Amino acid sequence: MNPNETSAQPDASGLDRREFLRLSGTLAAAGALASAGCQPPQEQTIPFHDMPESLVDGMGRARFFHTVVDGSPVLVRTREGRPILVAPSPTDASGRGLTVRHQAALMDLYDPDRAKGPVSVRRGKGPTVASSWSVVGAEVVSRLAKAGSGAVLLTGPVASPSLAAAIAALSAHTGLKHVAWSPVEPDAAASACGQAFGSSSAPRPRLDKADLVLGLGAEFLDRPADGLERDFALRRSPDQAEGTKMSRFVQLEGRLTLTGANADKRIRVRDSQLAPLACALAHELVVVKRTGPLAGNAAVEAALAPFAVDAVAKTAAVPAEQLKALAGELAAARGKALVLAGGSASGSTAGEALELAALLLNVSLDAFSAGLFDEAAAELLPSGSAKALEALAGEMHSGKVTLLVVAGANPVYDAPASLKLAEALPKSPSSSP
Amino acid sequence: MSLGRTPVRILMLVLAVAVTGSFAYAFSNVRKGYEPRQPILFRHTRMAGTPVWQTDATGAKVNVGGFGIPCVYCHTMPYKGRHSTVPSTAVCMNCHTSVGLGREWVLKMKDYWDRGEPIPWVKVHDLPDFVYYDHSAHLNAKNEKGEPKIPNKDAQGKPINQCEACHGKVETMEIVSVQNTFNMQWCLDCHRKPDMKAPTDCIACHR
Repeated sequence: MNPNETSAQPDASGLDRREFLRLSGTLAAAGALASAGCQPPQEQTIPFHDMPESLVDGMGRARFFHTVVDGSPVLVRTREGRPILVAPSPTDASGRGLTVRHQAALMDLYDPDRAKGPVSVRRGKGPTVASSWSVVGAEVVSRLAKAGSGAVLLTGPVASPSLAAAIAALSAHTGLKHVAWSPVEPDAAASACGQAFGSSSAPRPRLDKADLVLGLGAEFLDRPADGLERDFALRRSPDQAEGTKMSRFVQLEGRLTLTGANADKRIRVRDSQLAPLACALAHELVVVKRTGPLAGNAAVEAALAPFAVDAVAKTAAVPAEQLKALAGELAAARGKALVLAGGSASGSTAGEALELAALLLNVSLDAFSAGLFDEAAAELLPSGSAKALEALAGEMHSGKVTLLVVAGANPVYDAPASLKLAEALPKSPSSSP
Repeated sequence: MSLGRTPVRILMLVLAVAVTGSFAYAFSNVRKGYEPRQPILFRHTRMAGTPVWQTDATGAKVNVGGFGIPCVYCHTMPYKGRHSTVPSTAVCMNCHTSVGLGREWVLKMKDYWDRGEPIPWVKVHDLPDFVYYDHSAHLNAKNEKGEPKIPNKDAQGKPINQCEACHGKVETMEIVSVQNTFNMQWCLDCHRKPDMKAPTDCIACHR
């Protein structure tokens, strides 16, 4: 029979090829199942070599260790050597608390792909090889010495003062340029603070001290950070202690956010109209009602002149009476009112204007002088990293970077795709511990 | 040979029954009789068994049975914690710094001790990971009269080893094996006894 022909009529003498394969496959599977497939896997139970006194296995005393996660000091609770809870450190005086990112960092410790030690990857030279810190350290030092002034250190946001000092010392010693990159950062707030106060250090708003909170697209409940949501919640219970009353929260926003959904009054405004609206409120307060330290200041009045409530209300499609009533409410609560911007509005192109208008409102409402902002817990906002990374990407594309050391950052993953960092990386010799 | 023919059909049917049957049998009883070999041939008969005294050739009396060491001397935690615990090598060294020094398996154990490595014992009683089991809760459970729910003495007042209720007479086993099915049916058989008053809701064990 021609071997290329498939026969529909089986050979009378026995099995044809397909039947044979089918049957033998079935038998092999059955055999494998019967011999091994039904046994549970053999497991080991590894005792201590020398068990510590007073330890009860499975009920082990909880142990704690201090560490820094995402720039905040935290206390991690462990059971039998396994971390189970990230809690705020009791020694953290800032009172910022923890965010969901801190809580989620616990899962990183169980990531099977996490780095368990230094590994060596040579581009185009085979697979990853386990290395040691002494080897990595020696290599980084020798390559730094060779790289000269073209060496760049790329890190995540540096919150630790000791790490910042170490990097500064390293830069002074070797000429290493430091670039800190964070994909999420309050750029607009930082630059507004810089323009208004001369430093990008933002005092922490105390929502637990405010009787009236005005949100201009604020999202402190959507992206819990710095313990703002906890402070806010303290004043939102109807059962308040003697002498305080439940706070009122008015939110102006475009997109419906969780924060807006929790407001006593939510006014729908386009994100792009938030900055003019904030200015209109400032106009009403400073120019019309002559409230606050800036009342009568000719420069401020001139700057606010185009933002009369009636004109802005028309373009923003918000009833003018509503805005005037809101301004009246703010003026009445002066010294007890606080304005918060943020969220997607703050991240837009008009974000800086919005943040500045919020600062102007806060100054007019005496929020800073009345202690509604905690200067002691001021936080140096990371800023300008997007611009720094863009500049770095340009240098990498033109081959000016002789050595790139990446520590605690993953720019190929989280930098804007337009920078084309993945293409630029092979152009600069890099080392990424 | 095609599936249309009677003998092939019969063969296929027999195969199907055999495969399904072996599956059903295997899954109904995967644990009972499990008798893994350990890295060290530890004899529970010698440690925990009852003493048997004999006179050897020189006329000296020797114990050819066990030393009658109670289970909790080594498995220290069943009354305190979830696990009864496998003893650390330090517990072996409590005695073996002075007895049985030249024996093959004692030397092996000492090897681990000297290297500072734990002994990789093979788990004999191994419940699935989705089952929560707590030794202390079972051993400390008492009825209204204040007697342990897992009895520690029989009708005549003679003491019984509580461990036996599930693990069988380990002191008579040369190689420790699983004496009960250790499946959900077996757990529930006991939990459902009226005088046990034990929880039978899913969350009791599947936490």
